[in-house]
Amino acid sequence: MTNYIGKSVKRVEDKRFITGQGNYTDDIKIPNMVHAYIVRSPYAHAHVKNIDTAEALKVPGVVSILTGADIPEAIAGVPCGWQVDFKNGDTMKEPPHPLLVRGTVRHVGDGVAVVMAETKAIAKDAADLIDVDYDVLDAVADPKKAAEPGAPQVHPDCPGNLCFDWELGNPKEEVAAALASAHHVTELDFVNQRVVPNAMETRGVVAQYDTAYDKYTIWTSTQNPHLIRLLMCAFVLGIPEHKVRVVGPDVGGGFGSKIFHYAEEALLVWASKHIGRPIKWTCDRSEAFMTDAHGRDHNSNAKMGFDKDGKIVALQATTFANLGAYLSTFAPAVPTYLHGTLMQGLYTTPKVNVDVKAMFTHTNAVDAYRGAGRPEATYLLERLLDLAALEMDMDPAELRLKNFIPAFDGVEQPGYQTQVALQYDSGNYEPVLKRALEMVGYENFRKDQAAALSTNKILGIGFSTYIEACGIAPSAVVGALGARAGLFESAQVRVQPTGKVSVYTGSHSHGQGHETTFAQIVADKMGIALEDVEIIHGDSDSVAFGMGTYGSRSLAVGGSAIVKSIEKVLDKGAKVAAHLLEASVDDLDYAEGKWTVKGTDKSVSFGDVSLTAYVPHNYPEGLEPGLDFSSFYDPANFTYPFGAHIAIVEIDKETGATKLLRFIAVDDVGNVINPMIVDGQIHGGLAQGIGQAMHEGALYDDTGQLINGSYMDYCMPRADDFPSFEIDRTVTPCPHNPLGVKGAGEAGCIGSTPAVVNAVVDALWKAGYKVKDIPMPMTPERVWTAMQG
Amino acid sequence: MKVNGKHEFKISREKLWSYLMDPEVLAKITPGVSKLEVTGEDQFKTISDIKIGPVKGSFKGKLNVVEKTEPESFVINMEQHSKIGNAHVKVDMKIDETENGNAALIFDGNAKLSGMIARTGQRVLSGVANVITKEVFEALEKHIEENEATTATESKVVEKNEKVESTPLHSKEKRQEKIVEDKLVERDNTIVETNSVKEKVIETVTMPEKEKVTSTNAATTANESGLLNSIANFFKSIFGSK
Amino acid sequence: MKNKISVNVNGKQYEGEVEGRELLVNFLREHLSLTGTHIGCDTSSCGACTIHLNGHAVKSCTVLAVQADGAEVTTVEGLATNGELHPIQEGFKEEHGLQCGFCTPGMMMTAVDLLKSNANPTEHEIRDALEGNFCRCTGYHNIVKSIQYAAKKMNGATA
Repeated sequence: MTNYIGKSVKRVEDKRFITGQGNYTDDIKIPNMVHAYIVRSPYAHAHVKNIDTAEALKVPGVVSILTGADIPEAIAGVPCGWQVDFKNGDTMKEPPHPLLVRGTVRHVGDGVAVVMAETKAIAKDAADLIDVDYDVLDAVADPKKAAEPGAPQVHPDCPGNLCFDWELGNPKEEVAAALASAHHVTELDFVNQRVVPNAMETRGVVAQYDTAYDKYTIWTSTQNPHLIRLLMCAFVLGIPEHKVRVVGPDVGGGFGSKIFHYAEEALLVWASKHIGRPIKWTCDRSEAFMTDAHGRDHNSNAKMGFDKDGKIVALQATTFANLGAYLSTFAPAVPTYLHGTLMQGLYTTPKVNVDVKAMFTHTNAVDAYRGAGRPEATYLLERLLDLAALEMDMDPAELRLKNFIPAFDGVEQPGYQTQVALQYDSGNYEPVLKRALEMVGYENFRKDQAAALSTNKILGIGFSTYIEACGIAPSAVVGALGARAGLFESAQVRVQPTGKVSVYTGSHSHGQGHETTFAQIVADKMGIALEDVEIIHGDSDSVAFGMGTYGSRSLAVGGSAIVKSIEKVLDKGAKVAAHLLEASVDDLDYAEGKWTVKGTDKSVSFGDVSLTAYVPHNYPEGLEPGLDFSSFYDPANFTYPFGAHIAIVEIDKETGATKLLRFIAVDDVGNVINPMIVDGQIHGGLAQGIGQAMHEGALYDDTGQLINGSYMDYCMPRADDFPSFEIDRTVTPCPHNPLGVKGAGEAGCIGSTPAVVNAVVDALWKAGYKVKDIPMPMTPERVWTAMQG
Repeated sequence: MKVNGKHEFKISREKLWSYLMDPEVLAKITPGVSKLEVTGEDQFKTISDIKIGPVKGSFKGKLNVVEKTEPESFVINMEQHSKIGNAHVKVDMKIDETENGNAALIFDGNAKLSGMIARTGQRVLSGVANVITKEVFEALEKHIEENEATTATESKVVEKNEKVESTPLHSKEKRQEKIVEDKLVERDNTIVETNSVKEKVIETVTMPEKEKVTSTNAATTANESGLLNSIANFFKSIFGSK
Repeated sequence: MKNKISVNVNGKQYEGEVEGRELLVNFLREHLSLTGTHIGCDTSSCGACTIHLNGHAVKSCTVLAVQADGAEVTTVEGLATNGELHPIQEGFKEEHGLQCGFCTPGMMMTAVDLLKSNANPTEHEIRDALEGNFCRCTGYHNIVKSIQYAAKKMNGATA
């Protein structure tokens, strides 16, 4: 029966990409279209005294130049989609985020004016002639410094630059008491540095206003077209939602950065009517560095207490989270509900407290980036565990095995209730670590490591056993946590008269392969050929309101919605089939694309039933024609993938140059529909996680300048930075969704980062350098410096 | 970005002071200026017509000399604006008297960069600045030499303590270069000793790191090295002119 | 000032008028609507715009359109012949060498150039050759496998 699920079906979407026929936003051309270029602030903090556009307007080919003053007061700024309250119950600070600045710039890259011209080159030429008179002010870029008395203020009504403070878990006093009586406490101050998402396609927008229909169309490089439409129409521009069509065409990667509603989207939609011409804006790479929402940027202190047997007795985590100058769509959720709630890890820790201060700084906004909060939590926990093992002279793998939550399937055994709000759905943690140890050849490695001590190239091994919460998310739960939207997903299964099937999903694919994976589910569940299924996504005019793709949610939530619609189609189809076969519905079996009367060879095919539903000449009385069903699936819980990652590194003692020799990942993402695609998701996640550990990091200087805002300065991981990855998986099905799937998009990125840092610390420690931490990215200079004591 | 160092001239403090207070000389030794137009007492409008890569441009700026204590010290404040970025520079200039009665100019400056030059290649620019600073003082020496026919001009760089700012991140090619560099330079101090090393850093970054995928040399200037050349040229305009 | 150029792209002769500063990638995308060649950066670092100029892989953002006057250009649109995929295209599909597809055209053009000069590259040689091409989705793992697939297939075909 199962022909597709569980098989590495080659991707349906590949054909257009490998032949150069992908249709990304910058590929779209509309007659009479103008090109926009945005003048951006070179300063992190300044008053804009005057903007002189006179010379620029004289450039032939310039159509219009608009500044913040040209935008009507009624057009509000970009809204935030998540509200987190202060500990005392006050609402978080939510300063305005105008489409173009009005008076004050608050980060390098803040939009000051937009030039629209016949070509992009003309627009850029004209932009160079715009004279902006700035009164430069002091700026602050570091979240901890932003909290100091006397720090430059980002917004006048956000005292101390505090957006909110937040706490979760057991009372602090209880955690402090448990730490005080612990046999050993491992403490670490560290920075989880800011990284730039760097989707290979930069953001882009094409906006068109059609006077005939009084309707706007916007093509935008986004992960969730419907949410963009909702936020833009209802909260920014005040345009009726049915008068705007948002299309997310082929999107060249997102990694979180294309979830959010950006100012440029609303700006172009508004301007397209204002100037009466379609407009295209394509972000330059250096512009993307300044304006795509960044990731991470936590400054933390963490303490983990152990009893004499190595059991964890308590964890205290204290974090300053940098939100940047403005609140991006999901920003407040990242350091809180996607971070604090994961501080239990895979462990039975009885006392956990997480304290977070979310700070405004004169930097670009920080929001969800692959993993979003969970990598930061995992980094904190897993760095502490490996360090504790070194300090207590215990084996890091043994230490973890001692502390794992015992296996539970979420069906026979209940889910596991953590100290930090979540209830894990199902888990079986020992096997992933044991399989990883087997793959790495642990005992042999330790021998090699000892032998290498006498050479110039020392070896280290690092562990990370992670859990994450994805399949985002049960609407009622996230609503209680401050989400201003639901997080269900929609799916419509439209059977055509000939039995071919069009599926409309509210999920959005930007590399994940939905057109293949979702088609596998549909083809299998309906018993039809894969070629007879088409997956349609990304167009708000054809797809029912959906919530898009992020938080490893497409299959667990979007896939489940499709399954619900398939069930409805097959239920109705059975009624038609029963009529045609003159049998009772209860007497029918459905398999291989046909309904058969049990115990007979009488059957009717899916195609015949479909045709009958649309040509209902001989049809059950009282049944509506047609075979077309929509569903909205709201999950009962998050899903909780987990895994064990092991890194092996080699360090040149003379230079500090670190080479990643091997990377082993054993992940459990629940049931797997397409192993090839899941493996690909893991590979990509690993590269981003390892990239953060070894290469990447956005640097702001103390005047708020981003000093590595180009590919010549920001170190992107390249092919020769990695070995081939060694991956495997175990399968612990999700007990609460119909597919038993958990989610694989972020797992690789969540688990891998601490494993690499732990490996470097292990190498140094074993070679006699008792170094607790190497700040990421672990450049040769930093590793070398650490060895100098 | 910091620039600091010391340069000894074989003339008296007072004489050096008078040279430095001459707008023409000031123009010669001050970062980013080819002409000074007096707009007030110790206030100047700076003019520099510079060709930057494929773009010719006029750079606007102003320069003030403040906190003058003759013949010991003064401070230069300067602003430069251009298409590819801006620089706000403050340089503390101190003139010490050496044991043999010569003047030693000690400079300690901080340049706040913004715009494209801030986020592209900034960390290699301190190396560029160092080289250019040397050129600036050589030019000043030459000028003094021409004017003080009778005065010996064997001044030399007696100390250069410009610290290479910590560069925790390196793009790939810079990382690799760093390793080479680290081998060249004594590991236990962070002072870059030789110009050749610095120039090597600059050169390495200017060249496309790999020839695997590249175009003709001429074409390369259209983008990558063109950008870096632009920055290097701009920097010359900031830190000295010939 | 406009300059007249004549370029053979994917076997077809094109005439065009371009500004002196216009980049080849712009000419391909804007004048010829060959949008398979992508722009991923502004520093000639990412390789998304890699094409073949007179048979060699170049980043088309570092070539001025006027420099391509009289040249032969192959873009991703010209890889397949008579509707049959080039082995490298097949390799990327078979080995899941692409996800979002944005870097893919450049990756394939670089790979084809590599396989011309080195029919049997080792994994190390492949990774080395890809240094000028960024991919953010695949971690390069399956790109390496895709190129190995193509090498094997091309060697089989010529053997």
